[in-house]
Amino acid sequence: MKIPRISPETLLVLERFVERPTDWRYGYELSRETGVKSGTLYPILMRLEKHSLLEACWVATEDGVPPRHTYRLTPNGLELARTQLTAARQRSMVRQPAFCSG
Amino acid sequence: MLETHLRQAATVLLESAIRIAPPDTRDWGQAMRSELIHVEGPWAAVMWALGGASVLAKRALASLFIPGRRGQGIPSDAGLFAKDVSIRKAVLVTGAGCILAALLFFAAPPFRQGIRVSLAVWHEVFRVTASDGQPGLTALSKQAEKQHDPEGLAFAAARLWDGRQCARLAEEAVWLDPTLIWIYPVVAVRHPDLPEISQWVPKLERWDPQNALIHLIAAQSIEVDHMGEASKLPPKEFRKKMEEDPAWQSAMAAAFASPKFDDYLDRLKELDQWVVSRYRFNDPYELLSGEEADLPAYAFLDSQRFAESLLQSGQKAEARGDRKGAAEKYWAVARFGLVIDSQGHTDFEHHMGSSLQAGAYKQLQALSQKEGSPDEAALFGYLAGRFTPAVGEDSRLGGQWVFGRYVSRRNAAVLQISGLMMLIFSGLVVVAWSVVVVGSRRGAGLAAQRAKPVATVVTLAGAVGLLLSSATIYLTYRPYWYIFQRAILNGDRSQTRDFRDFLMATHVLPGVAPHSYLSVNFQFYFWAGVILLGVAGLVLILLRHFLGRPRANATLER
Repeated sequence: MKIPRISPETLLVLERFVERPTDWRYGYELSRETGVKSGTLYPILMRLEKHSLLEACWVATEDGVPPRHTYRLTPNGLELARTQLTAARQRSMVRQPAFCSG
Repeated sequence: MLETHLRQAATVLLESAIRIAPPDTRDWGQAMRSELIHVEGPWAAVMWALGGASVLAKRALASLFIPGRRGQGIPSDAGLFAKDVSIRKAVLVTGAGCILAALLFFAAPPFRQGIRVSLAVWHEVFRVTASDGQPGLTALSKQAEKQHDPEGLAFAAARLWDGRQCARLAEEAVWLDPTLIWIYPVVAVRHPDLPEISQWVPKLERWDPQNALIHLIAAQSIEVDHMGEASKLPPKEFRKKMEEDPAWQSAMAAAFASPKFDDYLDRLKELDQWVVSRYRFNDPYELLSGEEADLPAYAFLDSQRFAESLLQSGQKAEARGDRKGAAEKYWAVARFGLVIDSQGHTDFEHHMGSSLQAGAYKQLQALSQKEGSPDEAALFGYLAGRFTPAVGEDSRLGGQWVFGRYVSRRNAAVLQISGLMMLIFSGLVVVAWSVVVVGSRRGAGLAAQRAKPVATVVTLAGAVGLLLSSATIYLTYRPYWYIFQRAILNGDRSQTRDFRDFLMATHVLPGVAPHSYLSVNFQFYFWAGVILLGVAGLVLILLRHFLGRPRANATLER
C-alpha cells in the first residue's frame, strides 16, 4: 500500500500519541507539547477521529469545571501512526548528507 | 481585571463560533471551549479561541458551499492527512465564482469600452498604439475604400488628422456620391490650409449659395493664401492689407448678407449613426477627435474684423448725417449675429453670434437716442445687455459641465488604477492557481505542497480583487458610456465636454498634471513606491512564514 504523505504538524501530534499509546490526552496538553496551535491541531484531530484512527470521549474532572474532551489512538490509528513515523524517519535519514551522520 | 476581560472575550468569541458551526462540528467546538479555562495566560487564551473560532468558521463556510459533505469529506488515502480538502475546495469555488462574475462583466458593452479606456495610457507609455494614433479610423478608411463606401470615406475624412488624406477621401466620397458634397466644408473647417479648398469653394457656392459658412470658408482660404506675408509684415499692417483685399471683402460681405448658416453638423451626426452601427466602430478617442471644430478657424476673428469695419462705416455715415445708411450697416451686423446664433449648433457659434449682436445693438441704441426715440433706445439697450457675454462665459465654451472637471479627472484616475489592478489581480490568480495545480499533483514536492494553502488564499484574494476592480471599472465608466451613446447615436452632445475632459485625463498617467508629461507629482509616486515596497515586504514575510514552518522531521530526529 502506498503510504500517504502527511503534514509535519500531523506527524508531531501522532508522535505524542505514540509515546504513551494508552493514555488519554487533552487538546491543550497536545498543543503545548507539540507547539501546534489550536487552529491546526483540531482539524487534525477531527480528521483522525472521522477515519476511526482516534477515539474521543468526555471526562468529568473537578467539581464546577466543565468536562474535558480527551483523545487516544485506536489500534488501527496506532499502527498507521507507527508506520508513518518510521517512514518519516527513513525519509529524513535519506535527506541527511553522509558527512553529517557521524 | 484585564485578564478577566480577555478571558471573557475569548469565551464569547468561541461560543459565537460554536453557534454558527455546522451541527456535526459543534461537539468539537465544545471541546475547544472546555480547554479554554485550562489555557495558561489571558493572551494565550485569546489566541486559543481565535484558532478554534477560525476552524469552526471555515467549517461553517465549507458547509455553505458543499452542503452535502458538511465540510468533512476526505475520500482518499492520499488526502487523509492533508489540510482540509473541503475547505480548500470551498475557497476555490468562491474564487472561481468571483472570476466567473468578473468575466460576466465582459458581456456588458460599457465594461468592454471601459477596459480599453482604462488601459489607453499604457498603450501610449509602451508605444503599443500605431504611430498615426488613429489605427481604427485608418483601418475603417481602408475598408471603406475597398468597398467603395462613400459614407465610410466621408466619416473618415471628417476625423483623420492628416489633412491631405482627408481631402483625398472627401473627394473620393463625393465622386461616389455627389450628395455628400457637404463633407467638403466639414474638412475645410478642420484643415484650413488645404490647397483643394480653393477648388471646392466655387462648387459649394453653386450647391449651397445662401449658406454663410461657405463664404466664411472662402474668406479663410484667402487669408491662408496671404499667410506667407504675415511673417514679413507687422500684424497691424497685415490685417489692414487683408481687410483691403477685395476678394476677402467680397467673401465676408456675402457671408454677412447670407440668410442662413449651416455647419452641417446635423448631416454629420446622421452619418456618424449610420457608419458607427455599420462598421461597429466605437473607439471614443477616435470618434470624438475634431469634435470641437465647427467653424473655420479664422471665422470668429474675420467676422469681428468685418463687423468692426461695418460699424465704423456706419458711424462715419452717422457723422455725415446719413442715419438710414448707418442703421443699415448696424442691422447687417446684428442680422448676421442672429443667423449664426439662432442656426448654429455649438456654444462657440452661439457665443460668436451673441457678441456680434451685442456690438450692433449698442450702436443702434446710441443712434436711437440721437434720433430722440427713447423707447427704441431702451429696447436696443436691453438687447445689447441680453447678448453681451457674461464675464467668464468664455470658459464654458465647448459645452456645459455636468459632472465638472474635478469629477472627470478623479473618475479617470479611478478607472486607470482599476484597470491596472485588474491586470495585477489576473496575474496573481494565474500564478497562484498554477501553484495550487502543481501542489495538488501526485508526487508533488514538499515545497509545492506547503505553498498550496498560501496559493489558495492568494487565488481567492486575487479573484475577489479581480471582481472588485471589474465592478469599479463598470460603475465608473457606465455614465460616460451613456454620454458617448447619446452623443453618437442620438446626436445629443450636451455632455460631451465632461466626456472629452475625462478621455483627455485617461491619456495621462495618474499623478501627472493634465496637458503635461513632465510635471510628475513626485508625492504620488513616492507613496505609490512606499505601498509597493510594503506589499513586496509582506509577500516576502508570508513566504518565509509558510515555507519555513517547523518540520516534524526535526523532532523525529531527536
